[in-house]
Amino acid sequence: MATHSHQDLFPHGLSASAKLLVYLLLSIVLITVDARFHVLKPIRTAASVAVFSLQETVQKPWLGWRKMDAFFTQQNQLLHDNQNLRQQRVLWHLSQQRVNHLEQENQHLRALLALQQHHFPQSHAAEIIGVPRDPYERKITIDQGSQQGIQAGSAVMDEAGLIGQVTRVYPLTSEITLMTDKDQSVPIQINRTGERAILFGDGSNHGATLRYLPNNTDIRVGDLLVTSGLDGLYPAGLPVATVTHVDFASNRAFALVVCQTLGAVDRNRHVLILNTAKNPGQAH
Amino acid sequence: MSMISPKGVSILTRQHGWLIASSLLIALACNLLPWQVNLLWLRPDFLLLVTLYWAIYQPNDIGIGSAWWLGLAEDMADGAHLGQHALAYAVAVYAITLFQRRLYNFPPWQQILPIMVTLLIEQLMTVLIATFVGDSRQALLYFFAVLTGSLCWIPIWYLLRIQHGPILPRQQ
Repeated sequence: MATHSHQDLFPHGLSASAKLLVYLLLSIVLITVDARFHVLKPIRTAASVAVFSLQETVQKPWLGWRKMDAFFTQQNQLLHDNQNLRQQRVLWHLSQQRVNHLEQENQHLRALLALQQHHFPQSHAAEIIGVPRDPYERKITIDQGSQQGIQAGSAVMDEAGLIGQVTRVYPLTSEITLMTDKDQSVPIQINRTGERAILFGDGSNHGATLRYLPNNTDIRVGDLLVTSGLDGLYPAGLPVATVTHVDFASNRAFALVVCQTLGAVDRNRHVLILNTAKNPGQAH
Repeated sequence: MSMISPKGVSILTRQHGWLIASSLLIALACNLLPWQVNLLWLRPDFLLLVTLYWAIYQPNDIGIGSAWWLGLAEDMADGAHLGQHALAYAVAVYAITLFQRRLYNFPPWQQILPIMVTLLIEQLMTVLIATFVGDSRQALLYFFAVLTGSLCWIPIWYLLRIQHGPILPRQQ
């Protein structure tokens, strides 16, 4: 037999089965500690910084290519876009003026009634840098963290509506749990009637359901749901979802109301974080 | 089976330590590439494939222990529960270790089936753990990644093979 430095007649160390057993136990301990006691946050924070730098390195060529591609976009496409945006700006300008006027009036009326003033919170724009490999983990990572002033619990939206909530903040990145995650719920009100309810995510891409609504609720397909603001986390009046299916079956205790969320992370890479801070002094 | 040890035949190349480390790092980076959200379920686990490759051809360096640590790195990159992929990777490499001496001598196309079974085991473990911790409900789409992963096996095999040169047939 040829001399082979790696082969011994009696191998040293643990056998593969014993090793597997050791690592099995280690994993079970780790999973339990991570899932139940949440004490591994410092380790996650350190790892997130390392992962972020790797992620940035990887995405740089891709983003560079996108920039190149954008640079060579056809002229008439740009002209067309520009025209559309101009028209939109005029329209928005008009509505903005109306909003300003209404806001003033509202403030005045609230002051007259001695009600608490509503403030719309400060917002940060951020870019999505990562979506986990697990397609049912309804979470995304963005490129801003505690150093940019992001706080856990803040609401996150895109131009169409609410998309979720900041759940973990690292120094340079933060993790957002989407509203469609099956453990997320949002207090909403039906825009048409003002009735309040709670919207639960169902773990799919756009789906959510309204639970515990009695069968005689006035709700129709197409109704807009907006945040009610009662939780103190989400500011009131953000568009959340539209109702796509209503079923008042008498064999169920509650109505079955299926909704489609308005905001979506699969459309664009940019999100807006509303700094709904704990201390109201910082919010404005 | 009681005689099984993590050690076995391995290729003898110089500087394979660097090659192994850099290939694993690149594989982890590939897992972090931006993907379309609606194509996410097709994303193969490059890190696992490269780990399995080295578990077949360099079992002295990549065994159950290193697979566990790599799985932990994947957990951190993914934001998953710590230990979820770690355990699944360790089990997958254990499955490879059982047949390492045979797989070592197989051509890559013949390795595809065992690799597919191993990926399936890993995916099952991951889904199982996620379900235990209370995460997932619709898990069927997950298993498409097993198919795409197996399809990636031959390209990855050739890429790594080119890097470290020819494989010596096992000495009897």
